[in-house]
Amino acid sequence: MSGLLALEHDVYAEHTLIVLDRTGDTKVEWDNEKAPEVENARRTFNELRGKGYAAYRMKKDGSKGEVIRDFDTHAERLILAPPMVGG
Amino acid sequence: MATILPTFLTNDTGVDIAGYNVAAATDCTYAATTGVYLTYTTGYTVICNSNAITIQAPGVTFNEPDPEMVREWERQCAQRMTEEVASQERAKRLLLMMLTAAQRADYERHGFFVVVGQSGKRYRVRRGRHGNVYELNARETPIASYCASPLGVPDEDAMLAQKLQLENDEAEFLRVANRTAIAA
Repeated sequence: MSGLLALEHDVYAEHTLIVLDRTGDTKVEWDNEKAPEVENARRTFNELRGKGYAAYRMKKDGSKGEVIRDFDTHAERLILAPPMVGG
Repeated sequence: MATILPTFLTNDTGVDIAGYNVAAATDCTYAATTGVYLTYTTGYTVICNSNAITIQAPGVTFNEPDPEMVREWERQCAQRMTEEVASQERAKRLLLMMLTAAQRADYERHGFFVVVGQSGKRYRVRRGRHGNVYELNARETPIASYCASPLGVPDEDAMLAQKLQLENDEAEFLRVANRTAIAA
């Protein structure tokens, strides 16, 4: 599959937490109007941060990344990556 | 004798089995005639069934495995390989989505892309996960390689994690990574 085709097939919600894992990734979406969804995303974020995951806030197109330490309900994309291990 | 990649083990990167790190166990073999034995270069043998992995020290003889167990292992192995392919495709889609157009073109064409760290240094991230990050000089020549990646994710997830950390937390990447200078 070409990259462009792949991009066309991915549809994301307004706010999405993307966790890098053995399946490729797991997405947790939330709507700021729905408190249980926000709480679920926040809980996932905090649990993985507690395990040493690095958290990045991104724009939808993948630009303007920055490291964050606290859950941001207004973020378009959050990416959580497992901790780096030196080889 | 058919040689296959034991997908259920390669995904369990970082797991230490009998003192042998399975992250490096890509050279183990599956002998179709003798069953579910994965013999490592260390001499240890790993026996796999539906719910357990048993480690056998070198020099111990095994009984012939139960054919039903072999079939079940083969079924599980095929399933894991399917899952691994799917996870690699998901990881590639996400990586491509997070790359700029120029990085995407480089990656599709050459198997690497270049990221600029917070310091302004340029790094080439090649397809892979171990020692696949290269610091470039002004002539785009690699002057050092770095080895640091997250465990338990497909390669292209690892590359995305490397890109994100180099761009947004370069000092932490350099702190963790093992650096090897490349002779001119």
